[in-house]
Amino acid sequence: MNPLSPLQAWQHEPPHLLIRASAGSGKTYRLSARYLMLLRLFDQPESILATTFTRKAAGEVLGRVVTWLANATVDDAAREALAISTIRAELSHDDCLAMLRRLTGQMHRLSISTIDGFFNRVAQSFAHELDLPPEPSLVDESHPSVKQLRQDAVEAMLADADLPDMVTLLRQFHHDHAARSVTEAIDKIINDTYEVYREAPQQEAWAKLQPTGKLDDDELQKAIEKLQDAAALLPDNGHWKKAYAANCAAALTGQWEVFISKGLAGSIISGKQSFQRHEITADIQAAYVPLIAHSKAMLIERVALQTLATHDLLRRFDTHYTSLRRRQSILLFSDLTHKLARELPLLGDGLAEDIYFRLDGRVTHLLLDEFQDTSLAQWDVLRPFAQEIAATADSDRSLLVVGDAKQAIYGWRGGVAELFDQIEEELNLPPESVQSLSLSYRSSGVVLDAVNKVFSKLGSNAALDKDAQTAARWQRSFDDHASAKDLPGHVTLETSVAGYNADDDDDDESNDDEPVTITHNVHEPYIAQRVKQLYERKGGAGSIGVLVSTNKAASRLIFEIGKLGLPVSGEGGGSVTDSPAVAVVLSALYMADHPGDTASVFHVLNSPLAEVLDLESMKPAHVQQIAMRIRQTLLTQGYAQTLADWTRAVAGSLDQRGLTRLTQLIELADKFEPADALRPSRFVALAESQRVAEPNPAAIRVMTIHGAKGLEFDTVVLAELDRTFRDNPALLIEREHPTAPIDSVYRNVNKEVRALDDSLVKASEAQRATRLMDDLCALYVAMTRPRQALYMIVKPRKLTPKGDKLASLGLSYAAILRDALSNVEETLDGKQILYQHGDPDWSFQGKVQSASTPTTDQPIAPIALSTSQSASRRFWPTVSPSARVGGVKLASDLLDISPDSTGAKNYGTLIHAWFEHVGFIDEDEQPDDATLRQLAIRTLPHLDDAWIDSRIDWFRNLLNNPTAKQLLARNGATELWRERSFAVQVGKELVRGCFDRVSIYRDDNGQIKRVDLIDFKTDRLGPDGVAPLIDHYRPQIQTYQRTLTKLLPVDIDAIRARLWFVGDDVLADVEA
Amino acid sequence: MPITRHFLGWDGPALPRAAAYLRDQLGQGDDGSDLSHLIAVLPAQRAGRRLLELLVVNAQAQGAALNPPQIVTAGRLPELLYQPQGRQAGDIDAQLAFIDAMRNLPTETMADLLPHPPGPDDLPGWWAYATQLRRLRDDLAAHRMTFADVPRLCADRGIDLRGEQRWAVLEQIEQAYQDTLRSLQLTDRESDRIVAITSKRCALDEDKHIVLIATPDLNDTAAAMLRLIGGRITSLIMAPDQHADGFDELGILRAEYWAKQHIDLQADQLAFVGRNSDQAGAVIDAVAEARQTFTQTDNNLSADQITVGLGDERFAGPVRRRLDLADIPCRSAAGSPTAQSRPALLLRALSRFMESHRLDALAELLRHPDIQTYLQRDHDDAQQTIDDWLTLLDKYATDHLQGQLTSTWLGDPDRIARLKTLHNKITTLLPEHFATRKPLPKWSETIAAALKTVYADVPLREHIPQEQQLALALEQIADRLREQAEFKETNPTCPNITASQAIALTLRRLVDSIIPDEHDGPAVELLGYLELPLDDAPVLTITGLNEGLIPSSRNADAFLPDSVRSKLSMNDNARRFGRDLMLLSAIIHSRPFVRLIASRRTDEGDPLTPSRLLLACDDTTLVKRIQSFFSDDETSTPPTLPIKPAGKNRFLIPKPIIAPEPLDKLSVTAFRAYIACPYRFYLRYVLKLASLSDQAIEMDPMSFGSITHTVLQAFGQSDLKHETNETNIKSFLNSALDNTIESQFGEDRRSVIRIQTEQLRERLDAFAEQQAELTQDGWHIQYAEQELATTITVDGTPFTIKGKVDRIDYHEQHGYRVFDYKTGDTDHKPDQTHRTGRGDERIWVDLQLPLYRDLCKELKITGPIELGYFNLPKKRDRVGPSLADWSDDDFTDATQTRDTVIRAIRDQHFWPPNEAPGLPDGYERICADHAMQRDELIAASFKQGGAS
Ligand code: SF4
Repeated sequence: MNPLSPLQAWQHEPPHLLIRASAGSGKTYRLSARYLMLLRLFDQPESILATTFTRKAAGEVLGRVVTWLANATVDDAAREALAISTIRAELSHDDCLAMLRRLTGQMHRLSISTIDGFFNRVAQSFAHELDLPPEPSLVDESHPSVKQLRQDAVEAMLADADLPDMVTLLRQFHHDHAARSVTEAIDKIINDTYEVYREAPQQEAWAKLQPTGKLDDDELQKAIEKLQDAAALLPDNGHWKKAYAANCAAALTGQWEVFISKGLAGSIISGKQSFQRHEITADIQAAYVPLIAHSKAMLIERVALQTLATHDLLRRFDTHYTSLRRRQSILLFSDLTHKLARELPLLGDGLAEDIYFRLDGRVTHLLLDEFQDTSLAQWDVLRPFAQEIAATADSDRSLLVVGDAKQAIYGWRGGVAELFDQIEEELNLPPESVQSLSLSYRSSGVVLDAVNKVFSKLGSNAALDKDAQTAARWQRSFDDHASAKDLPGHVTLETSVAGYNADDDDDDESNDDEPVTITHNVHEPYIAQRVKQLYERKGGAGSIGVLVSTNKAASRLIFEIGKLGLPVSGEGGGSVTDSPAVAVVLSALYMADHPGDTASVFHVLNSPLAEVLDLESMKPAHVQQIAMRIRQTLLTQGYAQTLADWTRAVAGSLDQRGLTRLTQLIELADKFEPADALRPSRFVALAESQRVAEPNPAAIRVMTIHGAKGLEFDTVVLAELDRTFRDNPALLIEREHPTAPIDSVYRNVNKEVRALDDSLVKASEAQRATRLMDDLCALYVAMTRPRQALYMIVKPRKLTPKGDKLASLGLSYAAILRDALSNVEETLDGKQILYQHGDPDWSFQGKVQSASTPTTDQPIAPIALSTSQSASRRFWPTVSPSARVGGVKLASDLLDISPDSTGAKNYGTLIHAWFEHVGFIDEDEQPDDATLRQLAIRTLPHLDDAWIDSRIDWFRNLLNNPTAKQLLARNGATELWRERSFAVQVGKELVRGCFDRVSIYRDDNGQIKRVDLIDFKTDRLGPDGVAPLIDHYRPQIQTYQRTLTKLLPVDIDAIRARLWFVGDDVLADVEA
Repeated sequence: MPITRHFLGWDGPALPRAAAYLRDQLGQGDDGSDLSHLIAVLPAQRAGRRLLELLVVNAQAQGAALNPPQIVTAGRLPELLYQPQGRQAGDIDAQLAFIDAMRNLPTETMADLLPHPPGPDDLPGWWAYATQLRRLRDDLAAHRMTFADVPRLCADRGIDLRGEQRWAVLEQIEQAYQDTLRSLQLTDRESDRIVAITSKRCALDEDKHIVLIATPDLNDTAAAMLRLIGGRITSLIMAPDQHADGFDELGILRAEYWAKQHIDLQADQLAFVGRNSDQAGAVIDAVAEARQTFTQTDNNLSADQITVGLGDERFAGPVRRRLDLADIPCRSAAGSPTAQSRPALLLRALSRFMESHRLDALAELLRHPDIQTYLQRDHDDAQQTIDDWLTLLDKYATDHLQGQLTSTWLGDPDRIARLKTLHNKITTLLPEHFATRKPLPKWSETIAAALKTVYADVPLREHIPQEQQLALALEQIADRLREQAEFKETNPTCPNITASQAIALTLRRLVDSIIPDEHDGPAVELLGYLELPLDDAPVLTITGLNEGLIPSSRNADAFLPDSVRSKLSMNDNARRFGRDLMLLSAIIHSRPFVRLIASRRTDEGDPLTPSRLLLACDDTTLVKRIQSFFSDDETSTPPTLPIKPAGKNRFLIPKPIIAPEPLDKLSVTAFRAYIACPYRFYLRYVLKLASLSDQAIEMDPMSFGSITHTVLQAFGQSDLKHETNETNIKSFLNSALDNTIESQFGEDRRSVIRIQTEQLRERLDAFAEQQAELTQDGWHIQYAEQELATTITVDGTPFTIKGKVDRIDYHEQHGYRVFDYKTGDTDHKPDQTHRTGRGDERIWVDLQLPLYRDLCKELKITGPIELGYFNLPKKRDRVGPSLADWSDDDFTDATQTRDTVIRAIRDQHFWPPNEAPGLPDGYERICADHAMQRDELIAASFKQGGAS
């Protein structure tokens, strides 16, 4: 390759570069271009580490780079384009080819992956240091086994918890309510708080609240008396008296929360000078002050205790959870990051070198995509790499960081967008190393106009007036977007129809016990209708993305849209359970596990599967038998094969969709842990929890905004805009700055108590801001998904319950959008256009999606293969004559491992090894003791000397007895086989084995006269003598005889076969 | 005789040529059929078996009697080439000695290697680490190195090992291990081999001759031994002699040579598919095509002439299923793991049960089909007793929420008796004192005894594959147990463990065991990549030609990263690539039909890359292949099993059948169910279908409610019902609660239930306050938990309404109040739950309270009756009565609704199913709640359906 000097290479962009890339501005392109340039420049693909947000994106980068190169080798124009605009360096045909070779030759060493993928590689090579389980199974948090694990951990934690403590803690989390479900409550607590604990496990951070001003008993007594004495100071006013009395009562009963929130105390705290138009005199204030301080202290102390108790709960949960995961060798993806972040730094100096050593290569080029979603823990691990690269001024190292603070929607998963701002400083990047991209290659100008309209004035959006600072901060990262394409488009903000909605009165206290009222949703059916209109619109709407905030809304919308018969699918697919055929199969599996579940039995019984399973009635005994048979089949055939067999058997009752879903169910079965095989219901749970691809790629896709990240659609419908932003985290967290480690953690409490302590207020405000930033990002992501058209549908406004005025919209997308876009007088009935821009009859410019033609495989006709038994047939069943003995095997024999049987078995093995070395006893020299011992040790090394010696003595005696003398002598034999192995084909089988001892007698012409076969047996004779043993061994011996006739030109009658039972010295003839 | 190389060529399968060569060139006897002096070395066992077949066939074709050679795998060869100096430690001896060596090292020392060592009793933990480290040790030994050699060699060669301490620890472990073995008078096989080489003590029996058959990958140790022997060695190489430079004198490949070669592959020999599972379809296509080709050339293709190579074992399932659909028998060479066989699963379930003694472990054990057979076998103790034991146990679990099994069983005495019978039968299987620690060998016989008991009468007939597989599994388990039994208790490395740990250890030792997949008659073979070169089927399809699978590569390692391996002349990525390239060349050239398949994505949609072997080609081809691999749009539909579906779905919602007698009585609460969904009403009240599970671990709303009712019933029927002192009421309720809980959930109940009890106590506490106040106000409980039934007449026909009224209070001035206790988390107003809709349009959806008015007539109550809930919700301040204020018109309306429902039920009007309720009720699947386009399904069910 024509070498390129680094100077030449970096003349167009600096080696260290940070790109702020707005939605649709071509991030993947830039990343791929950089990759290609590095390849051109350094020719060392293995030294480049590129991390992306999804595995799919990683594949896109690699795919793009190799395709560019491949195309460039055959298309000069493409090569020119690549040279001029993509890498801006000369690029010959040979260069391209060389790069392609290099890249593909190093395919196994490329590091283009997700952060998790890269971390996994690092972690595996530090398995011991990180305390990874030796043979871990890496699973996702959503797997049912993880749910079970958490449940077990909670149970274990409760088992060793102090009961009153636990009850208190739970009540604290539940505002002193006595909720029924404990596991659910604890699970929720843990869900809400565990990640915080993992980031800050040390108790220190949880013990920061220091209540001051608390009075001791005496002081308190005095303070109360002082307050009581103040009665004389009150003005003569009913309100005053009542308020004062309430305060006194609260103080006496220690109800400090009541004390500070009511009456005079409340006014004094909020700094008011008068109460009910009477001045609060200094004396009165003085009477209140100590108690106010005390009540503050008491309340803050309560929060402090609650916080500590929460920490304690989490610590104990964590202990059990960690040890259970360890015991079951389960490793969560999140464990990797946490372990790396925590343990790696402990390894001390030379860490980067250690990592490079174990990964077998130095990372000199770093490309980080979607940086705004990086978590602190992830950055802790990546930072040393980045710093090392950025620190060097060499031009042979480089760093590219791409991201968009406006698309930081993974804060709830630990993403810290501020890292993106900070990295600039942290890595000391000069200003020319920071670029912004805001030209969109995706959206139409019309869509971008709406985006600009909403986001360029976010700081002054009335809906955000309480959060103007945060909104302004968000706005600062926004530059007006322009479109690189000349696309027609249409945007509306419109209202759906008035009516009752199920989630209108959704609150935290949603009741799990029983359905309260039967409700009718109107909003979602309306959206479904709108989607239908768009779908059926003349000229088409292309791909339609319906975006919502919650999974719950997504599934309801999928249901509503599906009900209208439109081709709709969910994010990352749907559930196999949406097929009635799958439902029946799952019922059958459930029935196999719970034959008493008559609902499942009935379901199967009334389906085409009943016949396949021979299920004839609901009689318990019958069901029980069928259930057992299913479980047996599942174990012997495996789940996947069983389900495949069922599927085949019910094919006549399936439609295409059902077949697809059943096939997917079978694929899930391939992934089912064999360890769970005894419980079919676990498979049912797995099947119900997994998402699978939709049977047909649908033109309409419903998903959460988070799921839509990185995707684009021709038309986008935003459907769940009315939810007010929730801002009630379980814990309040304080950090020095957003990217600093957690400094303090507090239990969240109500506004009144929060107001008593500055740190609580500060933490709460910071958290609200963070959360709001995330929410605003989500709106930005949502609005930037469409190529051409954007429809934002909000619920019509409502009156307050009193009915006298419009109910407030709260802080919601609906409110923000209304303020930014609408100036229309709204009606209460809805179905109103509040804003529109562009052309309602916009012409669709994209690819027309072919009507979903299921591209299923053609059914397989049986492929008729020859069944003729050709001579060339391979792998005949192999049998050994010794396996032929005695017909049916018995488990009790197979499992007989008593010392007697083992001894006999060992001795049998030895005898054979020894006899192999015994020639004609009357002629040849016999093996000496040392040889016998040597043979014994080689054959059965685990036997001890004493035992062997006793056997040797025994064997010597045996050789000396008359039978041996007679039997083992030459007696005129011309040939002797000892332990001679053989293999012959008999019928359809390959008979393999070994003759213990065969003497061959030939006449003078060399013709065989007769053959003597001896088989040594160590069995002892039973009470019935030798006869039963002969019967037992007859099949074996007869096989030997038949085999001999195949090997030697000898007639079966000329073979004398004898068993020698050496233990009893009995010799027995076995007739042919 | 020196070492000879012979090139078999690769224009045909290697094994038949090797077989012919053995007979023609090396055979003894007149006809060359005596091969007993030969040691034939093959890379894998399967090839050895096939070689023997070929030799037999050849001999028989000649009418000769084969005297077979000794056939060994390359891994076993070294032991034929030297005499060990003593007793070689067996697998279990070596492993336990190694563990002992690790455990006895001071923790501080070990910390350099294992900063987080397993606990002292965690034998499985140590076992796993020992296995890992011994693997590293074996790997080094295969290259004639020890732990001690590595740092030394690295220092010599200027390699920075990063962490010499770790190697120092490994060396110490090694020493301790050797010391232990020495004290046991055992030697280590790997060390023996190295010593044999260094001391040049390798020898081959005089009359023997070694034939290496296609072993291009023979390891260093074996090669070194062979070189020491120096003669009577023939190497048969599966390549033509123009590639002579690609092999050394022993026929071991030179990776550098092969890395530069191209794979000679026609475009039609290659298929790229979308997802991994799609490969199965491509396999079938290839088979169909091959059959076509073979038929044309007048040869009929039979199944055993086809081999499918698996780049990844996980592809076996999909491939097998497709072949199955095409009616092609197949057999997986990998067999199935013994650890997943029925007896192994049984042992594991037994071990879990012994270890935890939990109800769920028992439930799992009982679901083992062989346990069921065992339980049903003895008819003596009334088969009936345990006929429905799964259901029995499910119900027990649900009712009593027991986690740990204790000596006391709870609840109904009859049920207890049956459970005891069941439990006893299971207990007889368990080894005595299973929880105490004993030396490992002590457990073998008792574990075997448990298996014997279960499998005593299970037939194991020879001609039934399934039974044979079971027999084999039992045999393999018995072998392990026997080895463990023979382990010496006096051996200081002998672990003291519990029965369940002994089982765990036995199962661990089975991880590498398999049960071969037997198939009568010809079958397509599914083989791993390394088995393919010596396979001689004319038709071959290989799946998984993706990077990482073929060739595999090592891209991160804690001890020996690839570049270090290269510098230490160990097997490295480059060598694996060269080897796989050589093998693939041989594979492709040596058979008439080859199809290679690579997929673009995993089944989860994650992108894959093609194998580098496929890219070892000329430039033009490279570009084309890259373009074709990376250019597809990925919106492919998920593949389905290639079955022809009928096209019409017959999995319907079962249509109600008309019963001869319609219902003529109903409980007050059932009306709500009918109004909500007539079909679900049908399932519950007509068919009485129940759902059952054993997953509950805490009181659900039902059982929480029923405990509350029991306590309040006791109160309402006690002398304290007129009590005005709240403290007395509280203490009564407290003890009633404790008694109820204890009798329901036992003394050793789960902690969750203890906490729930406290939550309930809190609610009862608040109830006591309210109750005291009511009594002070002059209200008195007149009836508590009163079962009532009344018969009304609708359209001239009587209909019975029944129900249990929670309580009726009476006040001298105000008359009667009928209460229903509500124990849900939230409090309800009666109107909220009974009616829905706005303003005037409110309609009745529940009739419980209004119907109480009907029931009260039976009590001959006169005077005004108020209706309401007595809420006991989670918020303390909401505990108390909540009365309805329905007007007479409302009641008239309710009565009409009542009659409408009764008429509908009489008409058996149970269709169509309504929308799904918010909470699971066990009918989701029957009612197709999750079905796409459910409305259509409901319509179709009505049209075509009909329950049987
Ligand atoms: S995901 Fe979308 S915005 Fe990001 S780089 Fe790819 S095309 Fe551009």
